Amino acid sequence: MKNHSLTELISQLNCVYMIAALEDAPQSQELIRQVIDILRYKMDRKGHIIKVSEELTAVDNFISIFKLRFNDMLQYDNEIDQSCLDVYISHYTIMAFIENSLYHAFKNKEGIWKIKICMKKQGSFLHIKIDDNGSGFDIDKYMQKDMPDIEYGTILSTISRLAGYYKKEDVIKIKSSIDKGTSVEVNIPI
Amino acid sequence: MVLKAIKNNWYRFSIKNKQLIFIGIIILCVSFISIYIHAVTHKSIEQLSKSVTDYSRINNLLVQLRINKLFVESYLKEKKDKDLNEYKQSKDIIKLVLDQIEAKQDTTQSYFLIAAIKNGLVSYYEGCNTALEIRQSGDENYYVHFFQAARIYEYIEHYIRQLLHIKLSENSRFYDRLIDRASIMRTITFAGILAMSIICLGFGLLFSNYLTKPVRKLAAASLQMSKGNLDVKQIEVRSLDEVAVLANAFNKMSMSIRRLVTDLKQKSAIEKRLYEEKLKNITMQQLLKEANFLALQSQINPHFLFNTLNIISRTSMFEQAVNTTNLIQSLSKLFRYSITNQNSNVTLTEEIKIVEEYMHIQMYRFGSRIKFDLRCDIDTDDIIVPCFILQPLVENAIIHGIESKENGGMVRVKIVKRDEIVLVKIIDNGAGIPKSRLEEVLNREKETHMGHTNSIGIMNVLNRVNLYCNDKKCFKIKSKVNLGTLVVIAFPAKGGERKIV
Repeated sequence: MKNHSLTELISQLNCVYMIAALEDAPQSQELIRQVIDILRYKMDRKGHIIKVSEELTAVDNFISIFKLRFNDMLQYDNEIDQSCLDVYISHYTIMAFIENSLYHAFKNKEGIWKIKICMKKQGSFLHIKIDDNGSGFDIDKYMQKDMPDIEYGTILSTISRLAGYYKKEDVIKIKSSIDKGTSVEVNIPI
Repeated sequence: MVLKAIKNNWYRFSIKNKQLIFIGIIILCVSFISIYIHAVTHKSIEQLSKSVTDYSRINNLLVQLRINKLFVESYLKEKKDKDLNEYKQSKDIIKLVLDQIEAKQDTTQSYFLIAAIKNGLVSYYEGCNTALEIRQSGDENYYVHFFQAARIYEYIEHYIRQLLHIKLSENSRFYDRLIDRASIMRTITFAGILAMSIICLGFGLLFSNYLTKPVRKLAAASLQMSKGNLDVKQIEVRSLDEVAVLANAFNKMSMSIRRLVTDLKQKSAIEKRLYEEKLKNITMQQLLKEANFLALQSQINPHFLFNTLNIISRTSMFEQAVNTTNLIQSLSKLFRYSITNQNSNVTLTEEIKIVEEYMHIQMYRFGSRIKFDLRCDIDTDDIIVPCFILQPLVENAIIHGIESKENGGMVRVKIVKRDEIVLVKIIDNGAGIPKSRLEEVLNREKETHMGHTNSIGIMNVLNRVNLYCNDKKCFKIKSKVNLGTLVVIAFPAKGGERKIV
């Protein structure tokens, strides 16, 4: 039911996309395209292994839509090493943290919101760093949360998923303090 | 009044006392009879012995008289002094016996006879004395006097015999009477014993019945109760003894057991109803969640999507793309309906609006391939239905039926009112549902379909419709392959409220 309706939604959006093209509305088109991409990204990909480039495209789409909402308050930078683009990582590895930042970190923040993603190869590891200057959260309290079903896409589930996949406990390291932002390090063995 | 007092007290005695009283009464009666019989017998024996004594006395008189004469004769013959003394003693004995007889005489005849005997005796003694004196003096003329005395002796003997005779006949009359009385006594005794036995038996039966009847009632009622039949009647006992105590206790117990059972039954009925309500609510919630398709499972944050659609709508308005704007707004409305409408029940009007928005979008997709028709002549503002009913069914009709058709696809929604029932009909001329599939759907078999998930869509709608109608069958599906499908749902025209769940 869910996937079907998502498919329906996607095909409906496609339809609108084409009409926007017919009516000569490029910006609308772009937006619609981005939404469709995000929907496609989210659909049917749970736990899949995808290329870094795909992940980053999704992140870009997501952030640009958010940018539209908040005008220029959101600032996004990335330093991506080109060699990393073809590496395969797990679906939602980066997206989970970006979503978390955008939904939760900037609620009461004054000033410009910054998100930065750095990615480079370090020896036999792919090193990813995600920083934001949001309001931070109590890491220890969060990690102690004991939820019966951990929703896919949350930080907890991502951590456990990656740890399970790579058979290492410390694939992800999170540093966060209240009002001082959050910094996430992901070390993926290649 | 005494009887009443006795009756009242009777009920108050304990069983042991009642039994004792009963036995006491029986013993008393039997004793009374025996004593009476004994007394009567004793009296008769006394009388008999009295008459026997009379005979022996009279007889004794006779004997003594003869002895006396013998002594006289002996002295006259042998002139022994011993005989003289004996004669004198004998006279005293005779006097004694005669006095005894005289004391016991009771008729005039015997009175005269005794007088005659007395007189005779006087003369006889005179003669004997004279004879004895003459003899003593050695004279030989004593015989004359002795013969005189002998002649008087004969008379006396005669009188004594008469006396005896009288006594005999008296006593024989008395004896006859005694015999009669004895036989009467025997009859009375027998009758008395019989009567007593009957009374005792009857009384005993009554009494034991009186005792056991309540006990039997108690036993029967207890048996009934133990078998599970709790509707036993109250046991009535008139007395106030132990049996009454038992019966009262039993009555109280049976009443309280009945009350307990009723209470329990009521409670469990209430609990059952509460449980069913709860279950219904939970099921409804679950189905709603299912129906709420853009749920967190797909990781789409609804607000995000909603806001994004709004942005697109603004952008397209700004870019003056009219159709784009309309479409995005329709999508937005559809989406908003699905995320904000956590109400389980909405008005039919709202459902219709959503279908129209949906069809608006679909028209763009399918263009002339589809014709959509909505006919509704009634006021739908007052009709309450579950949410997400119409749109999924129409969507289903399009997907299942029309997509496979190149041209001429038609979906019609018809809403009519018949009596107090509102009929919602969705008709399409698409590919139809094969019979086996239709049966599965109608039998509400949930299957996990990996491919075509449409049947689960209908399933969810139909399940919720059933819940809404309290499990009464209120929908009908008719379908022929390659001809089309008809889905009819019946809703009550009144009742139900727009509920927020």
